Amino acid sequence: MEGILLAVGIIFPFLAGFISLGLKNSKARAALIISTSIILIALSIFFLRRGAFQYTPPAQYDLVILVLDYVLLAYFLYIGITDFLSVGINIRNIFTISLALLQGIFLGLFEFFWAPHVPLEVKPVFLIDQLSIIMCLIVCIIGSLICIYGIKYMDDHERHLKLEKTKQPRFFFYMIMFLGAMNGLVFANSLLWLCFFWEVTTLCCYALIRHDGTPEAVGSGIRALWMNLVGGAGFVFAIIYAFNRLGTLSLAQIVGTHGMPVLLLPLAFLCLAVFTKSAQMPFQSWLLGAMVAPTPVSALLHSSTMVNAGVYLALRIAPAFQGTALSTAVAVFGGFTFMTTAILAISQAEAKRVLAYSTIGNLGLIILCAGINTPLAITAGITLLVFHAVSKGLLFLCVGIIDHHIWSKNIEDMQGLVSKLPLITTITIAGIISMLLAPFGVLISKWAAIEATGALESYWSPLILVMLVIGSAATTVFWIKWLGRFLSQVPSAKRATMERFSPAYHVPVLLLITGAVGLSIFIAPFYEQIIAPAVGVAYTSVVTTQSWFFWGTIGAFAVWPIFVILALALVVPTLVIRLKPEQVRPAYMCGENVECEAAEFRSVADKRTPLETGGFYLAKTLGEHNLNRWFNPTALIILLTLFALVIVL
Amino acid sequence: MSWWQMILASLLAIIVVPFIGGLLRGVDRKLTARMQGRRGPPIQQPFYDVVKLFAKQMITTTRTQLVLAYGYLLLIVTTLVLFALRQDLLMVILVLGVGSVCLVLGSLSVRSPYSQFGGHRELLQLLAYEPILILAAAAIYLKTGAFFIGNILSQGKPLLPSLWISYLALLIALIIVMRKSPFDISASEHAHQEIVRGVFTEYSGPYLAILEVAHWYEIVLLLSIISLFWVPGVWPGILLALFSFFVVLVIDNITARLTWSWMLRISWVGGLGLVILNLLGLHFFGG
Repeated sequence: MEGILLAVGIIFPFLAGFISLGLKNSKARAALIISTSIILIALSIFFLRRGAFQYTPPAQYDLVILVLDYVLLAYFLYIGITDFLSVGINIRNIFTISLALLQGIFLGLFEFFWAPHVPLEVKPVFLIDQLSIIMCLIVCIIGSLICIYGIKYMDDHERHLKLEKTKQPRFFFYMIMFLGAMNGLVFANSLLWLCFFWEVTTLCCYALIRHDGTPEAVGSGIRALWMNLVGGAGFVFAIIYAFNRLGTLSLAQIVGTHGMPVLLLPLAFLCLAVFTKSAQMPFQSWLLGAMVAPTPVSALLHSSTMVNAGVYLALRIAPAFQGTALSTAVAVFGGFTFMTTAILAISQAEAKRVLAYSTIGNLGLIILCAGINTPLAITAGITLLVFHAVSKGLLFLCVGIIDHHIWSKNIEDMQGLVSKLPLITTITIAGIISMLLAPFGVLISKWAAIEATGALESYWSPLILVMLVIGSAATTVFWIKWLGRFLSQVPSAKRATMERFSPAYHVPVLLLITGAVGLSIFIAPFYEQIIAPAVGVAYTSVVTTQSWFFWGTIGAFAVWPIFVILALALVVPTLVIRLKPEQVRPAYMCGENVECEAAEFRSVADKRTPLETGGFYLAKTLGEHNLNRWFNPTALIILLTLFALVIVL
Repeated sequence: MSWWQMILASLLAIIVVPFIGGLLRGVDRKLTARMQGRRGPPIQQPFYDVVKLFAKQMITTTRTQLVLAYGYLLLIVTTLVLFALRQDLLMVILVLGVGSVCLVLGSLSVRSPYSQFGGHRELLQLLAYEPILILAAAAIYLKTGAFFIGNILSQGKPLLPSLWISYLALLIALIIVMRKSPFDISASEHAHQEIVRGVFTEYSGPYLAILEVAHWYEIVLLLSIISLFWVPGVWPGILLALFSFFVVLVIDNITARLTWSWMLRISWVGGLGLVILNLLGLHFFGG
C-alpha cells in the first residue's frame, strides 16, 4: 500500500510527463494534464489523512537511483560542453563543467570506493512526516493549479510568439516531472535519494528556464544550472562527511543527533545547498534571471517547487544545529537576505522582478526562522512557507494574465488598471494584501518571527531584529507602491465594466485567492490540524489557538477581530458608497484642468498637455547597480564567516 | 478583565480619545502661535474646524479614496481599542501600519501629482518610523518579558531609567507620525508649498474631517505607547507623554523641512542606532 502511494506520488508524474512528450494533440495533452492534476491533488489529501509512515523499496531501486544520478551528472556535463562549443570559454560553462565533474568524481569515489557496499543501502529510504505532507500538499495542489493554468497560457504565449511548431509537449514534460521530483525530494530520508531528486529539480528548472530558446533564456538557464550545482556539490560533500562521521545517511538519524559539534561541517554544506536552491544573496541572480521563462514556470519555481525545496531542507535540518553558532549564522544570513532584497525591490519597475525579490526575501525570512530555531520561530517558518506559497503562486498567475491583456509586465503600464480590468486587478490587489497586511497569514508569521527573534537569548538578536524590521518596512513600501499604480485613476463616477471571464485563467486564480484568504481567516483550525503536528515532529509546539487567537508564549494576535474590522473598513464602504456625477470633481491642477475626466491640463498658450504621473523608484539611491556593490560582497562574507565559524569551533 | 470592563475600556477608547487628541491639536496650534509671536486660535479651534468640515458638501475625485479614508479611521481606532484592552503591543503597531497604508493608498488612488507625491512620501515616512516602533517594542519586551500591554503595565519599576535611549528614538518616530518639521515631508503643514497638502490634497469636506479625527487618534496612540515608559502610576506616564509632545512642538518650530533621504538617514542611523545600542546594553548588562 505505502509503495503504491509513493509510486503514484513520484513515479506517476514522471510517466505522465513522458506521455505528454509524445502527445502532439493539444486537446489530449490538456486532458492528460488535468487528469494528472486531479490525481495528484487527491493523492496529497490522501497523504494528509493517512499521516506519518516510512517505507523502503526493494534494494534494486538503490541501484537504479545510483545509475540515474550519474546519467544526470553526465547530462549536466554535456550541457556545459555544448555551451562551451557554441559560445566559447565563459564563466558559466567553466563552472558548469567543473562543478559537474567535481560532483561526479566525489560521488563516484564515495559510492564505489569509500562506501562499504555498492549501492549503499539506507533504511528507511522514505520517511513521511507532517512536514513532508505539508510540502506534498503545496506541491500537488498549487503545482497542479499552475499546470492547469499553463494549458491556456502556453497557447496564448505561442500564438503571441507566432511559433510554427509547438514546444508544449516538452514544456509539460518538465512541468509535471518537476512535481514528481519534488514529491520524491520531500519524502526521501536517504540522503542519496534526496540528492538525486535535488538534482532532478535542478534539471527541470534549467530546462524550463531556457524553454523559449532565446540567447537570454539560454544564458539564464545555464546560470541557474551552475549556481545550483554549487549547492549540489555542497550536498555531495555533506553526504561524504556525514557518512564519515556517523556511518549513516539517514536524514532522520543525522537530525536526531542534536548539537553534536562534529556534525556541523556537513550541516553547513547542506546549508550551502539550501542557500543556492533558495536563491539567497549572493546567489539571487539565478532566480532573477529565471524571469525570462514563461510565467507558469516562474509561478512553479517560486511557489510550489524549486526554491521551496531549499527552505524545506533548512527547516528539516534545523533541529540538528539548534543552539550552535551555525544556527545564529544561518539566522544572520537569512535576515540579511530578507532586508537587502526588500530594499532592492523598491527600485524595480518590472512586476516579475518585484515578485522575485519578494520571494527571495520571504525565503530568507524562513531561513532566518530556521536559524532562530525556537519552537515559535519554527512555527513562523512553516506557516510562512505555506502562506507564501499560496499567495506567490497566485500573484505570478495574476501577472501572467495581466501580461496577456496589456502585453507588458511593467508596473507603470498597470496604472489605473482597476478600472480597465477590474476582475483580475481586484484579485491581484487581494493577493498583494494577503502578502503584506495584518492579519493575513504571511504577516502573522512575520509577527511570530519578530517575537521569536526578540525573545532570543543571544547578543546577535538585536542585529537580526534590525534587519527583520527594516526588511518588513521596506516590503510594505514596494508592495504599496505597486498597489498605488493599480488604483491610480482619473476622476469618474462611472463603474468599470468587467472583462471577459476565462475559466482556464480565472478558476485557478480564484481558487488560490480563496485559499489565501480562507486559510488566513481559519488560521486557528488550520494551525491545529496541519501546522502544529509538523512543528511537533522535532519541537514542542508553543502556539495555542484559544478563542481563535494566535497565542505565542509572550504575546497573542487577535486574528478574527481584525478581520472583522478590515471587512468593516474596506469591504462594506466599497459596497455601500455610491457617487453621483455632480459629486465628482477633477484632481487639483492649480485650476488648469481641461475637463473632469481627461487627464490633461492647460500649459503654455492654453495648449492641452497630458498629465503624467508615476511611481517612486529611487533608482539612483536604491538601484541594483548602486547597492549590489555592497550587498553581494557582504553576503559572501557572511557565508564565508559561517563556514569559518563551523571549522574553527 | 471581565467582559464589561472590556466593553467599557473600548468605549472609553473610542469616545474619549478624540477629545484628547483634538485638545492636543488645539494646544499644538496655540503653543506654536505663541512661539512664533502670534496670538493663535482658541484651544477648541480643531473641534470647530472638524464640525464645519463635516457640514460641508461631499465632493471627491474617486470612490476608492473615500473607502480608504474609512479604512484609515477604523484601523486607527482599532489600534486604540486594542491598546485599551491591553493586547499585544507588537500587534498594535502592525495594525497601525495597516491604517497608515490605507492613508497612502487613498492618496495614490487619484491621478493627481500633488497627492501622488504626498502618498509616496508618506510611504517613506512609514519606512522611517515603523522599524523604530517595532524595535522599541522589542526593547520593552527585553526589559519586561512581555509583549502584552497588560503585563507591561503591571511592572513594578518604571522603564525609562533603563530604556531612555529607546525613548529618544521614539521621539524621532513621534515627530514623523505627527508630521512635524523637520519631517513634515508628506503633507507640508502650509498649503502653499511645492506639494500643496500632499496626501490630503484631494480630500475635502467630511472626508478631510475623517482623516483629521483619525490623526487625533493616531497621536494619542503614539503618546500612549510613550507613556508606557513610566508605569506604575497614571500621572507620571501622562506627564512624560505631554512632555514629549511639547518637545516635538519645540523641535517643529526651530527646524526646517528636510528631504526624504535625510529623514531615512536620521531615523535609521540615529533612531535605529539608538535602539540597537539600548538592546545591546540590555543584553550585556541586563539594564
